[in-house]
Amino acid sequence: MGAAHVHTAWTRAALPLCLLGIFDTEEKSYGYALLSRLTDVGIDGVKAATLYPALTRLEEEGAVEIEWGAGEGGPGRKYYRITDAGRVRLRRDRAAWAAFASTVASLTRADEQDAAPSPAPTGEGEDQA
Amino acid sequence: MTKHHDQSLHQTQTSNPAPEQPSDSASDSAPDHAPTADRERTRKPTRWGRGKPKPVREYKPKLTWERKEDEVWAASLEVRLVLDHDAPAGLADQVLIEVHEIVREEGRPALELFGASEAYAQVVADERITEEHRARVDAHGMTPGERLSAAFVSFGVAGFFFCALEWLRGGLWVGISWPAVTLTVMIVLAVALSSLAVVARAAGLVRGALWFAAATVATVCAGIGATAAVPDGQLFTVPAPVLMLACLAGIAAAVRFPDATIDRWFAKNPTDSDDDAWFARLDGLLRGRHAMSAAQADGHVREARHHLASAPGEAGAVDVFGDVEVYALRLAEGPSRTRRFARRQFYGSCVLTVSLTILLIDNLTDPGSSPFWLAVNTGALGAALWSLVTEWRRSTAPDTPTHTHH
Repeated sequence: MGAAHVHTAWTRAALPLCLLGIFDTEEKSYGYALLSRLTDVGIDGVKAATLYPALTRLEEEGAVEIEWGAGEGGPGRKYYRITDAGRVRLRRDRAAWAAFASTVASLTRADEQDAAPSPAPTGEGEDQA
Repeated sequence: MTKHHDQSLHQTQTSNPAPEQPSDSASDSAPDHAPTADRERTRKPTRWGRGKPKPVREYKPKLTWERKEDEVWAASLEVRLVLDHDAPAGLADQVLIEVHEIVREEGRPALELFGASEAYAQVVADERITEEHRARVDAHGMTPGERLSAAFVSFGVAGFFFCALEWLRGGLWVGISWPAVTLTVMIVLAVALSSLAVVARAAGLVRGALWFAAATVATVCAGIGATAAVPDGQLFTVPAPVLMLACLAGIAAAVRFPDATIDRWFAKNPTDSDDDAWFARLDGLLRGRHAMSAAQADGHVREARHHLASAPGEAGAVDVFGDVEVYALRLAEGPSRTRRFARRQFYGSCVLTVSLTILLIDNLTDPGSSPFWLAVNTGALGAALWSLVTEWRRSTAPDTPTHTHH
């Protein structure tokens, strides 16, 4: 599996959690700003074709609510705001994600330790022991 | 060595990854299966639905299962793939060939090797039915061509049985009169036009669907008027089997007519450079194919337009959002999808119930009406009322979590 594909999958899986995290720190936000925010923090694999469906799903699940703002000579802007249910879900998913990441980290660290070559024993050390 | 058949599907998939369709959720329902390493050669990383479905084999193989329980399991898997997941032509056959081979090699029941058929159908759907395929079919898993063919076949079958009943009831020779000819032409035209209206709507051509619906109403009105105006009296008689053969010929024509040709008639994807056409198509797909309200669809279109206006550069809608049918599918796959389609079916059932009620009143007030048709009418009205209640409940139930491929 290529690294790019792996990271795309991770990003998609974590995208709703990331979005809720951003909403929790901002009063409200909109699609283009969210995309910029994600890119700024290093999550640059998200495309508009993925972001808006994810936002739509969060809205249908009641985690965010929408509000239309006036457009400036163009179409109106759709703002998203986190709901109480969204905050509950954020806390729950954040804890689950942390536990999952911790488990993965512990496993991969163990693998690294197993794979790392052990230092060659020296006669001096043995003598000291 | 992998311990699950679905995990091995993941592994084979990686040789030709599709970055837009990770399937991490699929492995959650992993059936327990312990394949041997040499079985990897049986795994086909084929993804179905890119362009025209391509059956791997030109014939449907006759698989012989040693255990009855495996045969039942295989039948259940096939039904689940076709009905629950709208699997493209040939995929279920291909999967069954693979399952049959593994079951034969292992000598263990399919249930033990692959888990429940429902869960394994989900795994197969996740791994091997592309988003592009799902984006191009309607809520019933059909392309416009398949749906139109199905409508004409159903109509032909109904006509066949109607002629058979006339034969049983009135004898071999059926009298043909001007009112009968007019009525028959009207019914055939109305059915064709209403089917085209439904297909056009499912294809996202909302305006075209409205035109076909208006033409249906006009045809019915004109037909009723013409039937009353034409002279009575028998023109000639014809044997009922001839009429039944005519219905069979209609069914054969509907089956043999290439679905791909009809699909092309209803395909109206915008060119890369025409953003307005892309947004108009998105609006039509969300309303027609995915049963969104005009307000919901307009909200998505406005948001997409705003995004495109905010983005720097000259990128067009197709560059930013991709294929319009796939994007529409992604927007529509949320948990409210079931509710939306139930509401649409409810409205359809309302029209049917009103029509059947009018027909029943007409039958009851007509002293010469047939008890058989009165019973059929009453039964159909009862079924329509039951559908109304069921669909209303489904349309007002809490959102159903839906599986998504992205």
